[in-house]
Amino acid sequence: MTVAPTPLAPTNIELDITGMTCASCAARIEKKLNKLEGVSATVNYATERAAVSIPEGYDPLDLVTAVENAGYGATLPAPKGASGETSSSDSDADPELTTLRQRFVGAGILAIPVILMAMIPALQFTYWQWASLTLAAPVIVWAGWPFHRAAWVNLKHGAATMDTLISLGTSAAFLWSLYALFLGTAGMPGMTHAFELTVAPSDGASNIYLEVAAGVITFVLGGRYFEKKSKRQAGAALRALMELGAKDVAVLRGSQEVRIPIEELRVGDQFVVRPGEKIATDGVITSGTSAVDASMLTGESVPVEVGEGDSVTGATVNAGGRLVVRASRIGPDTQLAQMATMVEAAQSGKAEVQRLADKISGVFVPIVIAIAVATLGAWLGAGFPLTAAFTAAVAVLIIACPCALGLATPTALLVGTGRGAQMGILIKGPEVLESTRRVDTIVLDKTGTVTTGKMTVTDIVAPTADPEELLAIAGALEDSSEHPIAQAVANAAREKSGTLLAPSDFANVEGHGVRGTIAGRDVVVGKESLLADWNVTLPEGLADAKNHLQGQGKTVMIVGWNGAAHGLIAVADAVKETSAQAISQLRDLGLTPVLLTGDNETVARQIASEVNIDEVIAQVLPEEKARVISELQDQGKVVAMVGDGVNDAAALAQADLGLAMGTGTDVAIEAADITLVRGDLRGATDAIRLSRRTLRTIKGNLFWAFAYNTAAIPLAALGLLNPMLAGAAMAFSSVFVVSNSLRLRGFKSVIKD
Amino acid sequence: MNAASRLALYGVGLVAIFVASYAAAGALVPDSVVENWQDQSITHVEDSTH
Repeated sequence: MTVAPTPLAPTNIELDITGMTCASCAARIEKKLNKLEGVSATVNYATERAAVSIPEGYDPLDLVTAVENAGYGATLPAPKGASGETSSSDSDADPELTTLRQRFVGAGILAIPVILMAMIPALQFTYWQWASLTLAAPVIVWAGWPFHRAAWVNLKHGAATMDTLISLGTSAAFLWSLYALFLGTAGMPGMTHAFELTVAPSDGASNIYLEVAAGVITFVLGGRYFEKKSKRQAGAALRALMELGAKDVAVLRGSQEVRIPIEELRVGDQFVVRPGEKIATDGVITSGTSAVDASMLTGESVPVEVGEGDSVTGATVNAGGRLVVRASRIGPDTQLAQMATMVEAAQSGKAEVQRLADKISGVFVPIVIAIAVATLGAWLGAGFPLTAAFTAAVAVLIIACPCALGLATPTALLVGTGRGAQMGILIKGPEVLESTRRVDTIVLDKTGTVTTGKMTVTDIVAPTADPEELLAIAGALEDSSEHPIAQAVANAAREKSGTLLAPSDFANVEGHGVRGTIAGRDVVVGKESLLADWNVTLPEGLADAKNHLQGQGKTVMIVGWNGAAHGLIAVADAVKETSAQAISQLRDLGLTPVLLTGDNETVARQIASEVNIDEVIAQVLPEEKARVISELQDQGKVVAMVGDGVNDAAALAQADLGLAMGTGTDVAIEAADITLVRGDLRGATDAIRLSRRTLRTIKGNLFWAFAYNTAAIPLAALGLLNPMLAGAAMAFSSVFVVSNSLRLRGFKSVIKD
Repeated sequence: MNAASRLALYGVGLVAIFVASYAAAGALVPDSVVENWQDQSITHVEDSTH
């Protein structure tokens, strides 16, 4: 075990945990840590991390010892400053994944000949059984070691999981085969397994079950490997979030601008933000006016007009003029860093659901052991010889371990995620498909999810001019402005008339609009206040239209030339064409849609009515989104959340099923369980249908995996089991499970192109 | 209940099951079945090794 230097903040530290095999392991470690004086801890199985708060002066190494005493491994992470580089290199080469791959590949190479020799009598050369032992022993002891160790840890805690069942079954098969080879008649030269599926009593000491043990271990390792490979990487959302911030900043030293790395920025420093640049950190504007695009952070679609004395947030984009900002918060105090903390808290606070296979094994294992003991007792009580009694009892243990158990979940997840990928649904934490209970509520972020997230021209009112001409004139002028609303007008004009006229004169009136000369006309486009400066008043008809459009939450610009107002252009974040259809499909799945937005109630209601959503939660601050989700969960609802912004990340992590729009930010994508590549809300319908179908497949697989072997238990208890029967049960259940999973490939999308 | 007592209780349960099945099989399974099985088993082993 390697111990990195003690982290910088002594009160809150994170431990990397190794050796956890199920959700109950996480619960056990959590219990153990919380027993320590003054320590409070939460352990996340998915990210393999423990978030621990310890009293001042507490030695973090005591935590490591406590975790090790519980039978697991723990390491202290490197200090935060270095985390950027170290964690990314960690994720590239996960040592646990590498070991798992080595064990799986090793087991596969060794197990295949063992299985073939046992099942095909033609391959059973003289002394084949000893070759089998040589090949199978490393598989059972070395490759199967993780199962034996996990079973031992579980036993110490008086619990049984899937590992227990595998360890028990394979150990029984191995030990019995050793007995049969060394002390029984199985080691004699020329011993063969007759190819018979008939049930007949045998003394057992002439049979070996090495292929069952080696096969089970290989299959289960394979399943574990593919699952682990697709498992969510710890801290990926946080890394994406921290990458959003500016890397360097132009600080004002006297009248000189000096470019320094962001880490060297101090509170009180004044820095310059040029148009198009990211604001380096939270601060207050000391000079300049501009529009700030904070949609990425707040979800607010309209850029915010800012001027001297206004506060701005780090990582938002300066969409207008040059700004000078005085830094008020840096490093971990910024809003971006606080958002990171929230995402982390939501991820680690997510309740872990016990895997189905573990849940079943927890009941199955004690019953199987009881049946084996009863078999032994009954055979001895009836007066059979000791060897025969043991043969039957051990056979019960051997046959009880379903080979397909290791395949049941991973194959369904693998095929399900593969089919999802074909349809543009990327499933990041496949285990979420299994653990998600029946989702009944779907919370939709407005901007970028239900709407396009981009400003679009929605209405043109031109009572005294040709609407196309009005748009062309306004667009020609607005094309020179970088303001997102201006760009929306310019784009609409370009779409309608192809090329735009070039203004012969242009001026940007910050926060109010633009003015200039187009084809000899003096044109003004902007707010009513700008036109008032030019002594232009709004006719009554236009004023009414303006109020009506603003009532719908739209941003309205007035277009005037030659001293008169000629019309209005309304701009809004338009609803995606497919949103209404997607929401009706979600309703058909029995889900209640809820619209969640930071925008005001009017805008939210307007959008909700367009797409037929009844429940609206508006004016939610970015930091409150996760709380809204957890409140819904507290009401007993199982919540899926669809979002795209940085401000949705914590809520996506908090939700039972987080879906991110592929067109959204990396942070949202990393925090979510599923990414909808196309940015089409109908993908959410497919994703939910696919997750339900996958869960159903997993349940079916587990049933059949256990059913085949459970059916063989009575035969084993009566002493009628032979290696061919054990192998047949293994083969049939595996083939059944795999083909059942493959049926997921036929899953059809609701999107018809 | 802690792990040790849970395991102990399970162990006691297993012993009880063993004793019960031992006694039940002793009382219910006639000796002829055991003799038949032993004969069959010997024949079967002889068949499979020849």
